[in-house]
Amino acid sequence: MFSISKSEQSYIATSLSSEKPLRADGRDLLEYRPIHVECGVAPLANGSGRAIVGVGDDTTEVLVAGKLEVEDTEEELQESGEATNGRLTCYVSCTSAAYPYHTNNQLEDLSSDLSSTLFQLLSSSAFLLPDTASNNSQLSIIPQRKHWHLTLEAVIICDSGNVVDALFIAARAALWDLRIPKTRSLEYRGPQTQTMDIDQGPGHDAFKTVADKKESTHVIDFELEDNWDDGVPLEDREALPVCVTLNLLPSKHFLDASLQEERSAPLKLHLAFSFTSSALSSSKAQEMTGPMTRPPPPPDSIRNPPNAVLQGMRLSGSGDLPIGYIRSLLKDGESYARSLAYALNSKLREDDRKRASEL
Amino acid sequence: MSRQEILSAHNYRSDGRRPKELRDLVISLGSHPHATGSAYLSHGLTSVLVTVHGPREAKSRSNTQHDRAVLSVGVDLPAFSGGTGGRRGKSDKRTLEFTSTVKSTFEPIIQTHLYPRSQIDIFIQVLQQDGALLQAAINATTLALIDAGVAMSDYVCAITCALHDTISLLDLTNLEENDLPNLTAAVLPRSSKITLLTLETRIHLDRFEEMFKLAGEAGKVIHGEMLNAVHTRTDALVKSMGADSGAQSGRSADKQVMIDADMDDI
Repeated sequence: MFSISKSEQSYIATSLSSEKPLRADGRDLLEYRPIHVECGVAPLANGSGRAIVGVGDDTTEVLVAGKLEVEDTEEELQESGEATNGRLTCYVSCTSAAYPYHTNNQLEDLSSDLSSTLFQLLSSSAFLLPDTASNNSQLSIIPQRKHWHLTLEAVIICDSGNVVDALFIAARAALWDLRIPKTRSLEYRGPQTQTMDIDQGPGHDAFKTVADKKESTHVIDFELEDNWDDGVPLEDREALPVCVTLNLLPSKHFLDASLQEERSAPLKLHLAFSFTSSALSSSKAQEMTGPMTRPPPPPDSIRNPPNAVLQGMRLSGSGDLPIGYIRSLLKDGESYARSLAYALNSKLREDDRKRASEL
Repeated sequence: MSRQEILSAHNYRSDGRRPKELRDLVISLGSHPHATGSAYLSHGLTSVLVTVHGPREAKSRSNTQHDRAVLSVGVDLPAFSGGTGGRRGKSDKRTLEFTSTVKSTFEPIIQTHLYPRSQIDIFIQVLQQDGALLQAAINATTLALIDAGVAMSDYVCAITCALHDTISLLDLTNLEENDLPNLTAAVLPRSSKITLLTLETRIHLDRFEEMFKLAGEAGKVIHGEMLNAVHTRTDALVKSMGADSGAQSGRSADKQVMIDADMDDI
């Protein structure tokens, strides 16, 4: 099923481009197959997620897990020449179980292609960038000295089309589920004289825990807090990036391509957006003063559109795209991504709530 | 952190099991949409997903044999599965050893002479590791091959066994595998033959025989569970094909003839 003849390609492309477009499974051009997403599938990782797009024989399944490792900032500076406050590495594993007809070289090529796509679209996310207040990103442990290195590892279980979207949904779930272990900074204070208590001898532990990381300038090491919970989630998880893949035909575009449709419309535009929610208090006041007969207002995040940021864009596949089309594609992509983000956030929040109530 | 003891004073292991008790066995067949056969199997916290593609035309002509099928085994050990160290590469020595062990276990069992000039690809996706990985991989591969309909002479059931003082333990977790001398054995339950025996540490000969016999019996217990899973799956398939009156045929052939004259005996 992985190769398709020119007549089949033309047949599918024609029916997609026609006045009343027809898809093999009867979907609309902009309709996704059912998406199933869940968190916490790999308990040994710091965060994990699984995304299944489609049902039955026509499923694309991706498993993503994130692991955190401590890294020395200075060593990293020497190696890569960049001062970082947290690092992200992505690796996507394409196995011959998912791609039985690919040769080893094709698998490696596909794997590095998907890894670089995932990295490119995630690398400018908010959680990696330094916070304006403290100049530290969420992944830094001791500023300029130690930071977390997050490795996102993805395994593609099977591919029935639209693997990039599934990959991104699973990666987002893994980032949502990520728990950063809590650390406490330690500073060294030399032995003090009269101010110390009599029973604390000179051999007393010179490593003191620092209550507030930001104040101390003598922080040299850290320790893990001995807590029962796994750590803190990332801040502002709702603003994690969302990716939509627009499959491009000469006259229009469509979403969530199946395998055959991908072969017939090889040019794809991957767009990653992140939506930050703006202040909602003004909109709530309006709600209260309106007449009672009005229909219930749509959810706040749609009525009062959150700010959208384009995190990354990638054009893949053979073919070209006239520059004039890009603006409208970006606008359309933003609205698709917004609905997807809203749906994903609701689902993940609901799952979190269920898990919390089970405990 | 205090060291966990392998076996408590009252003969309970670190996860609360008895010495000869096996972990929870979860089997699910046919979950992968594109593979010819697939099986998900977990012994407690060790879980693997094995997919089988084939018998099919070989990817490269040079690999084929004119009179039998060629077997190829691949494994993926992601970093998040919990094994030591990060992700293992394809040409890592441990990985190569693992795949060649699985391959040589199944080569004599699969009736390869029935599929000349073709290739059977087995892929083992490790999802989580808590000891006894080879055991889980072999059991899951047997089930995946059965799900794919590849002809085999018998089931292959694997089990790990360790020695703690004088007591033998079955179905080891990571903690036990790292600390105790242990062996992995694969048995053919119907003929009571051993097809694989790996031992990487030293065990006294007197103790070895006892462990070996125990492993044989444990293999038969696992066989029972695997048979259950395969029967459940086959029943479900037969029902969905609309032949469910035929499912009863093994038990009541006379009724079968009356109900539907066209249906052959299954």
